[in-house]
Amino acid sequence: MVNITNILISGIAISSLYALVAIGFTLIFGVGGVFNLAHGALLALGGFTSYFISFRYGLSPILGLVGAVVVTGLVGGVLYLQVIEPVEDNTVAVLILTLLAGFLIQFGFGIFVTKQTISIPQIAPGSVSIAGTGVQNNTIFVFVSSVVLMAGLFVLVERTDIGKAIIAMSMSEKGASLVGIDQRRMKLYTWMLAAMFAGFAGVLLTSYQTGQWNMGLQPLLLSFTIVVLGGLGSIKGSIIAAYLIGFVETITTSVVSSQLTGVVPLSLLIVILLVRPQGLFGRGVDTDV
Amino acid sequence: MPRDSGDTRDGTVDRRDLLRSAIAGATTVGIAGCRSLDAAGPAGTGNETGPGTEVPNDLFKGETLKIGGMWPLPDDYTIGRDAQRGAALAVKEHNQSSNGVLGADLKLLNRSTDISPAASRQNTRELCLDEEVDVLNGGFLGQSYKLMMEPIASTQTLSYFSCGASVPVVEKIASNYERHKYNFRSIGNMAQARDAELNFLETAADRMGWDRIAVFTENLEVYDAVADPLVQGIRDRGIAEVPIAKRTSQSIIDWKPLFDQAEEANCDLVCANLVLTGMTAARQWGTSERPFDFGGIHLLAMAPDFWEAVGRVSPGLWTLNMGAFDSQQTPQMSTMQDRFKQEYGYKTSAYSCFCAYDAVNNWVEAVKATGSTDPEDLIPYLKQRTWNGSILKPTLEYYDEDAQYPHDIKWSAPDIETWNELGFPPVIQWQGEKNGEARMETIAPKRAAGGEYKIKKTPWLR
Amino acid sequence: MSDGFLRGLPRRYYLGLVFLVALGLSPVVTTQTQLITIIGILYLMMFAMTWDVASGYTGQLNLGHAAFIAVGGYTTAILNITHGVSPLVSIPVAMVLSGLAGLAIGIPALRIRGAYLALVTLVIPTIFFQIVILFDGVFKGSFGFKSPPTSLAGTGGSTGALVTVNRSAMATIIDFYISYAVLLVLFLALFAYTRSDSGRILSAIREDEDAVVAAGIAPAKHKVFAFVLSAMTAGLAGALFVHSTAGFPHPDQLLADTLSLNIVIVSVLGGLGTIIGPMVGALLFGGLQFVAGEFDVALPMLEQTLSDVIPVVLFVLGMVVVYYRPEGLVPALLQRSEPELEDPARRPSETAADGGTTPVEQVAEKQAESLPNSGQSQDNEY
Repeated sequence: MVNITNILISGIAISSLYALVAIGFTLIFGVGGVFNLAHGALLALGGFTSYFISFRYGLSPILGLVGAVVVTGLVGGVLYLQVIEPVEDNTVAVLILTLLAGFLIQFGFGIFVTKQTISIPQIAPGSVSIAGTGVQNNTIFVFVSSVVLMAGLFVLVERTDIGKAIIAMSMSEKGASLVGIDQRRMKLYTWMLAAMFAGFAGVLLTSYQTGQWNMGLQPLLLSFTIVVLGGLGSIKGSIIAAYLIGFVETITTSVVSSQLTGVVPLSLLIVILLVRPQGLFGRGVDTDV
Repeated sequence: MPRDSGDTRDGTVDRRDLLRSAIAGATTVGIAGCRSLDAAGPAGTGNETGPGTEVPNDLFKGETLKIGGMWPLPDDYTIGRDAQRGAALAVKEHNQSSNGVLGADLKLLNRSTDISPAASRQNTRELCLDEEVDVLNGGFLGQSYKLMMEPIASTQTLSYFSCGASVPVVEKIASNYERHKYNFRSIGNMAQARDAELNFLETAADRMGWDRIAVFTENLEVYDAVADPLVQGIRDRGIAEVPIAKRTSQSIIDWKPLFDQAEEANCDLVCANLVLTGMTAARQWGTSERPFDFGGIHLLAMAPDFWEAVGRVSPGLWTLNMGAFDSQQTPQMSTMQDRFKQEYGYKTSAYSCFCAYDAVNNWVEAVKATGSTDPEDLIPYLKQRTWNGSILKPTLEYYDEDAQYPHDIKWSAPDIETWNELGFPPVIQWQGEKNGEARMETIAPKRAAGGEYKIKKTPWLR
Repeated sequence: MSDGFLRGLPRRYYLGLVFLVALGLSPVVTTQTQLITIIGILYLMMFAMTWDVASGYTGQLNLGHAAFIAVGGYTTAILNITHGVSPLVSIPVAMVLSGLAGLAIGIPALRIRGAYLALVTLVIPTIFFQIVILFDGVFKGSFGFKSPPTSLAGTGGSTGALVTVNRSAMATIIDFYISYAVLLVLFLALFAYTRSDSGRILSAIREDEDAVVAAGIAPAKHKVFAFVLSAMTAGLAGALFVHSTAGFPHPDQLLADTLSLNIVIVSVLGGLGTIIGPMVGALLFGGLQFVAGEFDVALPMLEQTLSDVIPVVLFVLGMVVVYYRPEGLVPALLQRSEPELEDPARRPSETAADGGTTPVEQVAEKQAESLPNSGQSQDNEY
């Protein structure tokens, strides 16, 4: 029984969520050539922050969202300044440090908060009817906020100086310095921005399903898959890849078998790596150590 | 009845001595009546007692009997925590009684299964080898318990599998009875649970208008006994049509596609048998206010804090359980709930709690009746005893080795009448809130629910 | 090795020897269950060493070492349990298969480097895990095998053993010594390899690949070989682990996220690219957890015990080490305790900072020597 409308709505919902999840990862890689392995942990941080604000303290879920974004932004900035920047040139160190930092944060949640699932009140409760099917307001919120944020990102990148600086840096660090871009400051902003995206996505993830201390690992791998498929460093590529993966997963679950859910992104990753390692819009795979 | 007194309570040699003597190069130590790790044959110094022979009240005076607890902590925190508390409550009750257990005190040593087979095995080894507990209580997932059965067998420790319903475990017992006869269950197994679920569906389907049922079962081996047989049973007994029946992945995060399918097929009920993905499914069902009821064998919904954890969005969700806040399946159940509340401040609905509590009492009764803690004495006794002190069902007996499920609780309620009379196992339903507190009602069978069904339709479907 | 072998060894070798001997004597002082935990530590040491020979030496981080371990573990489990093959056959087969897995990683690793490779390897155990769940007829999913594999040493229970004895305590001791022996053999083998010419080429590649190419050596062969060696030895360790009393063929044991992570941390703590470092790091890590577990102290403010919190402590420690002492704890500590410089001629593998020659230089020297017009003096510049 295949209902196209339902698949369309499910696909759009999950894809827009995936896009939000992956975008922070893309940004950091584009700008510094750095894979932030703590990305998943930042998602978890967003989820847990909103949990504290809107569940434990009973405040509005919107406040929880705002709080999560602020907190993750700050943590992202601190992470960059204190941990990453001093060892920036040493790729191995960065990888290990972000890996450890990420696990540290998540283990911290598991040990000091709870190992059980957490849930937060819905940001937009209720539902409406679209094309004869009931759609949750929460789902619409996910989609709308995803579109708005992506659009905002594009505006930032195309129109503002900061955005252009980010693009310049992702193309050539030397060239960027030559034209007088303060790399350190730009990277800091990028990290904070990426972290805020992660925090936002983390809240949405938690409200859409539930959250857990180790909720960051799967999204991290998913983000990597999306970034690889879309092409390293390409924002446009990431968004398209997110939608591709989201739809393939939805169709597989609905039409083929519900047992294959976990396998889809990973299989896609293998296929991409074998067939077209530079992704759809990438600029090449060679990342020199 | 006079007993030999050895160096230790029942003549066993400290296991650490074995290690040291092994290193010293001693040849095989043959201590008469020694319960060693390696002796394959029975060793009991205990004397056969049967019901009716007098056991002196102060037989174990001044001694401490040790119970080893293997609880699913910390990931399944509430289920494990309440199991531990249930056992602790039973232990406390015995210690506070005038005579203890034939004069002895009970001591509970708690370990975690860490939901990991290897950790379970290692902790069980600690309890059996290092702590030399007299009996084990606990065990959750079948895969972990199967591994626990190895040190249990090699140390010949009696063990009550109290928190898990896996059928393959009892199949393992059946396949090598002599080696694994030390294992008893103090909880229904999954096949029995499924039969209860079928009874419930049959009796509720008309009431609730369930003509078309979608069945989703999580892809865990413990649910193999449910998945297909349940669907078959629903069809064979003419309960309803089953347009959709699926095994669902453990890593589903979005239930929308599956719920959409159920909705498109005009299902009146989604019967979901879930463990890991249960919370997400319940939440997404509730927040999207789907046009069907929702229930099944839903592990996470058995926990007392389910309502809060799911975000208070799933009224109408029902699940099979082993007990409940206010179930009247036995008079002892209410007494236990009151005492639990006195001790811990809340009433619990965690099945693991009831079964762990029951296991302690089950064992103590056997020890008191036989005057022995030696499994070789207890096992024959357990196999033929009818126990009236269980909180789960009015009389409790065990299947013996020839049955399909050796050492499982004898339970049979092939039809609704028998189930109603038996009162076990109950079905509970989360029915919203009252004065800010979550309401969990025991809705079936009649005896447990207080004489009549209390099932209600999901609020937005009324 | 020259005469006066023992006398001439630097202090750190003595330290290592002391550790090893102490480890070897542990059955004397531990209970049976404690000994089983220590056997687990032996395997962690093996896992860490086998990881280091590839990632520590080539600088190409493999964040999914658990995959090689799992290939070894599952191969022997399937052959032994499902098909009744003796471990004497199934374990070597497991080694071969994991070696092939190493090839499957090593060759693509030539094209994909650095951070990219790291992330891809991070994903691999997850993929393996999905396969284990999906093809649960073969791999038994998360439920596990119906019976344990043939033990290394046992009392002749239901599944038999390679060595049968009367009492299970003795069996555990024998298990320990078998594992210990393999640990030593592995250590010597890996140590010898990394100090050999091939090994030094690896270090040279890590420092400056272009220089190595310029010296006329093709790095690809060596890098792939390092991965294959790493995978084969990890597979051996994984296979043995599954047969020992400390292990079990189950995703929990072989494919846990934390397994690869722990391997990386202990190696980083101990010192990448030294073989000894990861071994010591694993010993310390395991020892710390063991001690914390024995004295199960509840921490006052939090509802946790010490052993629960240990992972967090170790992550922090790992980060601190990477941050301040990237070369690892072991080399850092020992550097301070060895103020004397050593004769570069006698210790050609010392780092340049100690007055020796860099691996690149050594390799270049060797190449130069093999050229027809060798004999001319070479300029050794830093």
